[in-house]
Amino acid sequence: MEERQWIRAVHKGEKRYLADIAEKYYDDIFRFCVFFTGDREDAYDLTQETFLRFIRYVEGYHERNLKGYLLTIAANVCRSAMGKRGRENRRLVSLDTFQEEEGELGRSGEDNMDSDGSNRGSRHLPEQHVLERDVHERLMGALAKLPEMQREAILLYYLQDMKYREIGHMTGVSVSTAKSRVRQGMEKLQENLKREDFFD
Amino acid sequence: MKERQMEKTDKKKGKRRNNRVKALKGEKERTGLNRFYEKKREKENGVEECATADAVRRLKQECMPDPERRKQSLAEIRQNISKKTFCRTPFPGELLAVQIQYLSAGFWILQGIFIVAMILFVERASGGKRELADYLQWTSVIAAWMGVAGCSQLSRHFSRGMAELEQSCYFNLSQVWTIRMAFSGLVDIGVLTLCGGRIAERAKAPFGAVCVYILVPFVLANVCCLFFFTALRGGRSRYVQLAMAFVTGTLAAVPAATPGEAYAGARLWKWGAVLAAGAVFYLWQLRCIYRKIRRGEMVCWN
Repeated sequence: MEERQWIRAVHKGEKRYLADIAEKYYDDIFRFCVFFTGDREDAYDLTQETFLRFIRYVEGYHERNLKGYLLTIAANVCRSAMGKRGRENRRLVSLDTFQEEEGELGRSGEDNMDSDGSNRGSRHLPEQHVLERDVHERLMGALAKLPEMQREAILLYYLQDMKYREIGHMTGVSVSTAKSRVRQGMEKLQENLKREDFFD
Repeated sequence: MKERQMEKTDKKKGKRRNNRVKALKGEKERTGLNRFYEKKREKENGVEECATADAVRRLKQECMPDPERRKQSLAEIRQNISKKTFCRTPFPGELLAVQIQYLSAGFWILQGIFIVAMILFVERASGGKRELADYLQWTSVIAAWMGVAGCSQLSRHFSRGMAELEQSCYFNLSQVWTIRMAFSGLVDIGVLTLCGGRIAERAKAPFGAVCVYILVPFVLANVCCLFFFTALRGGRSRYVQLAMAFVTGTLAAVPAATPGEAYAGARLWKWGAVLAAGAVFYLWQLRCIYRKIRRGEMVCWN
């Protein structure tokens, strides 16, 4: 069933499609919230809040781009949460979260071990994971240093695969402004990463 | 002497040429270098840009929500969905029908009387030999009354508490206004155009010109009504409306009653100018009133 049909059905009062929409877009919104706020723990609450707001005002939804609409709500929710809590400086994903993840991955790595002791998933090798974690952290740090508008544009363009036109529509700016935000943001991101010898 | 001068000028020309060639060469060299460095920089940046973009895209695959927490969160969302109560939004056509339904019986009767009167007048008057001015005299008066009747419907919204009541039914006040004005205006203009066609046929006058002559009193009556809009509400509004109808009707009859040829072809541009000015003034007034409605100034009782 297409999104439009879902929305039409929702407008007619069929609530079950709202759950389908939440199921479909949960991961995208969660990822956006993680990278927008830099806080994985908060991202769960913010994702939930995004869907609750959407459900509250779904009668007034008449747009075509549902994912874009949800991302706009998510951006507003994140912005207000960040403003409330004043966590501009706490955008980096906390190390604890990574350690938890590492533990989980380690466990799953153990699960993947065959009876003869060989590891099936090369992805879960500890050195590789440490490297990945380092890359991840440095990238998150560089992203966190970007101005909010540019970070938002980059996240929408590269992470959510949105078009410039859609980004412009969502953020209330022209296509050329959206383009320049992405470009300038990428330039700054590159500079930040260069300084940290990311490309070496 | 001349030869020397020629030699000097040749030398000068040669120097200039040489300088130009050198400059061009230098430019070429410089642009070449620039291009080389630019390309190099582009290449380097391009590779880094690709690497950055890939790294950002890779984040997407790496960052997934914890399945347990995802489940919990979705369960809470489902709970909220089950509690949600939907407000039914009627279709635009349905809303329009409701608005038309709430137009008062008085409005329909008055409009009906005007239309029948106009048709009867045009048909009866067409029996004898009549001039254009004879047709237009009463037609203009009825057109002016139609304008007043149309506007009187709007003033009804500003009876105490009425605006709030209407606003509670899906539409806001300016939307209700727009619907009613568009509806009554279109009906009136349609009837007036039909009568204009009939008059043009009988009096053998150009249809466009007749329409302009008829629409001028209609638009000006609307302008007057909006101008005195705030006086048209409350318990005494009927008297003010009657006075307005009398004044505008009388003024509409003046051009046909004056001895000069008010409807002569040469004066058509003046009628056109008055119509255009009236329409512009009318739109400006509407804009002002809409702004007042939005801000809640003057027109809002409570």
